[in-house]
Amino acid sequence: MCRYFKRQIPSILGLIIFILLKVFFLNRVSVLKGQLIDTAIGKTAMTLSEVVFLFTFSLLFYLLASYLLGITRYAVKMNIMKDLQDDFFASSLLRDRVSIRKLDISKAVSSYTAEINVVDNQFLRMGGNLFEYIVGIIITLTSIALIAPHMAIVSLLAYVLPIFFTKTQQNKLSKAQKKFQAENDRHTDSFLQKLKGIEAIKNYHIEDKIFNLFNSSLDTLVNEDIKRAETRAGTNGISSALTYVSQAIIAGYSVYLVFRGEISAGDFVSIFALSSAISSQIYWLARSVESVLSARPAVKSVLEYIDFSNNNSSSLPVNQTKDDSLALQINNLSFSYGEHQILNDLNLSVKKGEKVLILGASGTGKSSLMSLITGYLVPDAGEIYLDKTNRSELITLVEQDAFIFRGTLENNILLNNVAEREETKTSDPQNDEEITKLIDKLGLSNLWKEGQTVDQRGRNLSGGERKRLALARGFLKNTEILILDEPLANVDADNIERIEKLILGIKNRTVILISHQVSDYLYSGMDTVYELNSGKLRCLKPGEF
Amino acid sequence: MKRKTKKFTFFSLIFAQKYLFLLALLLIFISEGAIHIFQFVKGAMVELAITGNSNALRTELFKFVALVLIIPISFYLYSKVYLRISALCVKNLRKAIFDSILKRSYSQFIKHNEGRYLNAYTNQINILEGSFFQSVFGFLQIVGTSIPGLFLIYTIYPPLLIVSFIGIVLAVALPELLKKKIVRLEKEAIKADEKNLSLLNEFLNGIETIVNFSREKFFIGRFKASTKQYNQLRKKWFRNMAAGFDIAQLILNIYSVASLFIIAMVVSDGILSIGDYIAVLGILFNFTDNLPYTSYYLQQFKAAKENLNYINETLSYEEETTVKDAVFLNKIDHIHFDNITFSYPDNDKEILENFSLQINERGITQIQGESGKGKSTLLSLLCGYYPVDKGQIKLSDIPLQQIANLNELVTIMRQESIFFDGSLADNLTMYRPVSDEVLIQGLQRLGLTHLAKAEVLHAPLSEYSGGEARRLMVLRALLRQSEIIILDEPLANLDPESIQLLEEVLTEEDNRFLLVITHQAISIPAKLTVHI
Repeated sequence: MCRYFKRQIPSILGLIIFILLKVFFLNRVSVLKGQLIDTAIGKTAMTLSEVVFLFTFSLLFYLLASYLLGITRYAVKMNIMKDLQDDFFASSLLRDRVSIRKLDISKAVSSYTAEINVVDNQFLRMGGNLFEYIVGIIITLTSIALIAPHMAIVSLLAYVLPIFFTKTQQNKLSKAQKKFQAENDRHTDSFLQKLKGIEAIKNYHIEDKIFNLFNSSLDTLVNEDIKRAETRAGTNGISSALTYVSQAIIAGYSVYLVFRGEISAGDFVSIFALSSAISSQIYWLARSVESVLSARPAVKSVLEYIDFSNNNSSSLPVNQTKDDSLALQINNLSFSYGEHQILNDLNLSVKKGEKVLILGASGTGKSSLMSLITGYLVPDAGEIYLDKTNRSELITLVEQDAFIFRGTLENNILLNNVAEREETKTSDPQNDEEITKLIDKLGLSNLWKEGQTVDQRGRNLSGGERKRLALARGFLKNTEILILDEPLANVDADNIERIEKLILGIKNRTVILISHQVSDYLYSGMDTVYELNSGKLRCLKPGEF
Repeated sequence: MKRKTKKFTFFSLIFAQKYLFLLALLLIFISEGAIHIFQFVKGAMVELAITGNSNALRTELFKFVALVLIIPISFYLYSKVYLRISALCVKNLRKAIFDSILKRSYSQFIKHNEGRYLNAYTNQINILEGSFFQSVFGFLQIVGTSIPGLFLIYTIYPPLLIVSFIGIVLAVALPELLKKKIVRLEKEAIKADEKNLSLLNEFLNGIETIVNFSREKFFIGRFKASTKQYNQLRKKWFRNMAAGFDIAQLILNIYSVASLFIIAMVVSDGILSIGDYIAVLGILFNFTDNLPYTSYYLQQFKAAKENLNYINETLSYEEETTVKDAVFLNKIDHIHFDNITFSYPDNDKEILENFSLQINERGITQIQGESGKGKSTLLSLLCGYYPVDKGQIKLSDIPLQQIANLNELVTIMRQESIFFDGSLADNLTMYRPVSDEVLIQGLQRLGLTHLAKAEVLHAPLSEYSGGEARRLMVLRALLRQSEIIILDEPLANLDPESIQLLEEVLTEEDNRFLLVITHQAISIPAKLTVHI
């Protein structure tokens, strides 16, 4: 967490100054309040206007300092939150591909909402007051020390008790928070899942069943929430009891000192007043400490998520092909899902610029093979050699079910390149022409011209339109290798021909196309054709490439 | 259409927990009362210690110890009750949100994007939990301590009560000037929050696409812009809140000095004693310390209202009109699209124009057509998701909107595979009781023999390939013995062998209306083929 505070150092320094100013002017205001009255009844040498002026001046500065303190503290909190949120998202995208495939989106969303909320409210907001309480306590203790030095030490010892107690409860607090967090992750997951399946729920008319499932999940969550709250309330209750006990100890000790005649009755009153002031400060200090301690599992969990990409890299490093003419070489590749052997000692080499077709029935492992090449899966054995070590610069994969973003069609095809192109002025007419041509060839020009906006998950597009949109993306990203996973699924006859022509017309790129079935036209147009069967590739049409 | 709203108000939320709430009130009064008495006991102890009256001191000491116990215990119980109330209120809100999502029609559901439901369900409830309960209970605590204070002022010097009233009213009323701005900023912040969550949810779902096209930097940039917007709105919001707090503090300080002035004058005239002066000093100290929070809590309360409004708006939806003489259909003789014209709401483009189709025979009806020509739309209309602009859709000559049990008659399988929590069996039967034999037989017929085992059926879900998932979805649809089954591209991405198996299975289902969308490349043994 330190690094997040470090980024806010100037503001934190400001905070310290504002705290000192606030305390100073508060003190002045209190003193001047007394003098104001004394002057009014003629007990001081100052004129009333002098005191009024000083009082107003101090009051305004006190208010200014406390305003600045408040907004700076809030700004520090919000800035840290923003950094955390940004890093949270960035770390999701920047982790290695194997981890991306394994990413539990619902858990991430739950962590982003619930855990960051705990960090916000319990850790940063309550923790933000700690320093102010400590400054307040130090000042009060100093005042007591000026009256009776050893009294200050007794007060300090007595008051450390509740905080010390809170600290001993750390494990209990953490455990309750962790249990709640786990339950909350589960619950959010189930909520998100149901949002996605709402049409099926309605269609199968299982609203009642789903509502009951949801309800029992919510009940468990609320029970954990109440348990966590009770653990916290218990800790707070005992620490506040200890605060009062401390007060009693101080009172007892003071009475003893008065009996012994070591301090005067007046001093006793002062000490008692001061210790009462401390007791509320200590109580809040203990509560803040409790809050911060309770929030620790959430802080830890969020930071672990953010640091994931730094600490874990399960993707294998890419080996560079030894033969310059090859775009891809696979040696003795094996892969299995649990006991289910998918690929078995598979070999493949693809030359630069070659068009390779891999045929295979569903479930034979075509998509797994592509995921291995693109680094989303790790092979059990064997090596994959690529032309460049950075997969992103080398390969474009058009997935079978490409994700469609909300926004304009243009943004969806260029994947938000639009704004960037305008910003960096890289938009050149030739490129624009190329895009328009491609859109036309894919039969998307009507939608493109209409400036079609795309709904969430592309709900307002047909399956074929979504597919062609995804293909446009792939064609436009100019990488050495283009992998097309079932590019013709859901596409109607008229467009199939167009797309086949487009694929066969690709020049200077290596194309790997996987499909369960293709037309004779596409079959004959591809350089090399393999069939994937029981984990191995069999060459159906040797390449003359 | 009737607007269905279950509106929560702060009152209704609290009222649902009225007994707990009363208990919380009782406990906070005990706790605050004990704190007041504690101050008196302390004073008495000092006096007795000085005078050396050990008997009386013992009684006071006993009281002191009792109070030391009562205060934290009552406060502990109060916290417990308070936290329970807040957890139960949140639970009711969450239940209502989920209930309203389930109860609204699908076409109503897709009017909001998922981020909105998620935002209402998570962030807005969290904020509400924090701000609303803090302000309500904080406010109660202030009222609990200031009423005795005002009473004491009255007993000491009645005219001062008027000054106090003016001071307090001003301190509460003047920050109200900022109210409009705070409410507006809160609204904007809620929107920004929704946007941020939508982006997170969407981008994480599309993460592989983003990575495949190495667009990480840009998407991170877009996300950062959204957190930045939220951050700035919240900071602005807080500056106004803090300003309101400061105004209240300023007024209360002026008021307290003015009051002390008045009291000092009265004391110097010899009407009141120095002890009275000290008592007023203590009360005023309490006021300037606590009362600024009144306005802060009030502002927060108003801001929290916006969160609740947002949740209420998310809860509301147009309820489908129930037709008076709705008919229950058991058997369908024919399906008739009678000259229908349709365009989506908020879009002028007509997807279907004067389209007619009559299906008389059970078994497979294949629907082919270019993408974008309205195949899926046609079937959404048959499900009753949208009203048609012109024409009528009839089942057995009864218009769709007059059929009470339409949902039971039609089952739709979309292209996307959706799984729910539970076992594979739960997912196939959709939580209805169906014997294992039926399921195993169904799986075997579709060539999913490796899944056709009781132990697999009742184990949690595992990963399925695209083709497997598709076939599972088909089986789910077939298992529901509805009169009409709609299958949207059931054959896409399947290999020839699976296609053949599936075709056989579908052909055997000749006792129902099977509406199958396929693209033109595939022809299946259909009783009727329609081109759109």
